[in-house]
Amino acid sequence: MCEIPPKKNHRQIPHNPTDSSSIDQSELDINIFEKRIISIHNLMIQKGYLPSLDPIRRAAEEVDGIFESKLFSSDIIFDLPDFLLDRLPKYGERRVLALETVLLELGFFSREDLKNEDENYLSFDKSGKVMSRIAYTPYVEELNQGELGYQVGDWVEVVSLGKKGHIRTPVYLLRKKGKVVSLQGSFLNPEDVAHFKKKVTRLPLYLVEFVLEDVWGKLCPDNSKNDKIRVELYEHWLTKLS
Amino acid sequence: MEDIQAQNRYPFYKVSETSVEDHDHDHPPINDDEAYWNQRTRVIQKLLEEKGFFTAADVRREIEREDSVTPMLGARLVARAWVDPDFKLRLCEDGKAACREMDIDTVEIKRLEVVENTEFVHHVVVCTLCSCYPRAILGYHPPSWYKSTAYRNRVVVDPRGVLENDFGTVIEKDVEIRVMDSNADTRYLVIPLRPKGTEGWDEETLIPLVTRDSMIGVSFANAP
Repeated sequence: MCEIPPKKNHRQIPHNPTDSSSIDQSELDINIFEKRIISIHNLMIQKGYLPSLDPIRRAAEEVDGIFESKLFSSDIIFDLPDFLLDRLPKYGERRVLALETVLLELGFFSREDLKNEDENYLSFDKSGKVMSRIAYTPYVEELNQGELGYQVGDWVEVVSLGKKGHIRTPVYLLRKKGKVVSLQGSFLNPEDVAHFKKKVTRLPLYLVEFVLEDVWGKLCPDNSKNDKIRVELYEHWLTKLS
Repeated sequence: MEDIQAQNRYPFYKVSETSVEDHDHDHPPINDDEAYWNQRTRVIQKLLEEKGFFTAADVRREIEREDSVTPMLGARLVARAWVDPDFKLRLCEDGKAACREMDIDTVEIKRLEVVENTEFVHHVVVCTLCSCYPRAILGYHPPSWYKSTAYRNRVVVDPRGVLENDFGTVIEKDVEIRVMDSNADTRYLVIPLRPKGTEGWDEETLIPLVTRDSMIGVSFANAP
């Protein structure tokens, strides 16, 4: 089991508050390959070989970074066809590249396996050794009972942690103030799981409500100033306001 | 299952070096992109099958299972909630448990929060980080617009503008909008307002009025 530290080509999900592009509501058919890759991914989770969606999300963000920077010499994606060099991968395509990346990282197969299989030479080891080697079983640091940093009604600020790698806090909320409206339970820190950390912490998750005007300031439309955004945030992203 | 390999003339490892002119044209035109991705996916599947992680039949069954999940499951939950206030309470209190009552398998959803639209508040769901969606209830493939950058960027900034201009859904000024940014472990399902004129209707008759988009919160339930 090996941790995957944040890679230099990883790109956290941006948010563009001035986006004015139209929302295309065409109902598109889903390609069979997209159905297949999602089913393969779900099967691997159901059978306990992959922990959750988090590592795939992290790997997909690395795919984004590679395609945006066009640093295709990276060791993550290889031999891209010409038609992919001038555009970003679409939703299902990004999922294929991300799942392939994670399965390579965990040793489910190797680059050689991929290439050999692609050439239809099935020459890999069938001994089953791989299965014990890849099992991701982190040490879970449990939350002590009653140790909750915040209660419903507390005013909190979202801390700008400057954390590299996969995060589950939207960047548009950094340094914004909101109110805890619900305790959602406790969950394994997805930011640890995404990078296959050996130790994963179970963290309280809070539903925090933000007033749109507080989030967007002058960008907030006049008729939405009192509308709300509700977002789940893990405890380490919050600090209490007195 | 169809044999994807059969139509693949562009193995992905050498697509960039293969000229379209290099082969004879004894087949109908194929979409190179799609053939490429079919092949790349098939290679992953084949390797995992050979190493014993699952069988081809497992994959076929999983595709069929996912295809069988449609917004109808959500519509059943909403219609039951409309006619049975006790069920609605249980659904809003613990979504997964209420789904079990209806024999709806919420499998990979860790926590399901069902939020009710009322005459005072209107919920609309987005995932600004990826495409979190209550797939086990509304279907495994969210609509394209839900996954689009435009929707994810805009609905958290100008929810009224997006609902009105893009989806034709006008929310009254005195109704608060709550944008649920589904970014972590909870998945959200919206109970839309029960349409006027359906008083006395039974559950089965109400189900067709409940649309996918009304359970995401970008539209109302259909009028009778």
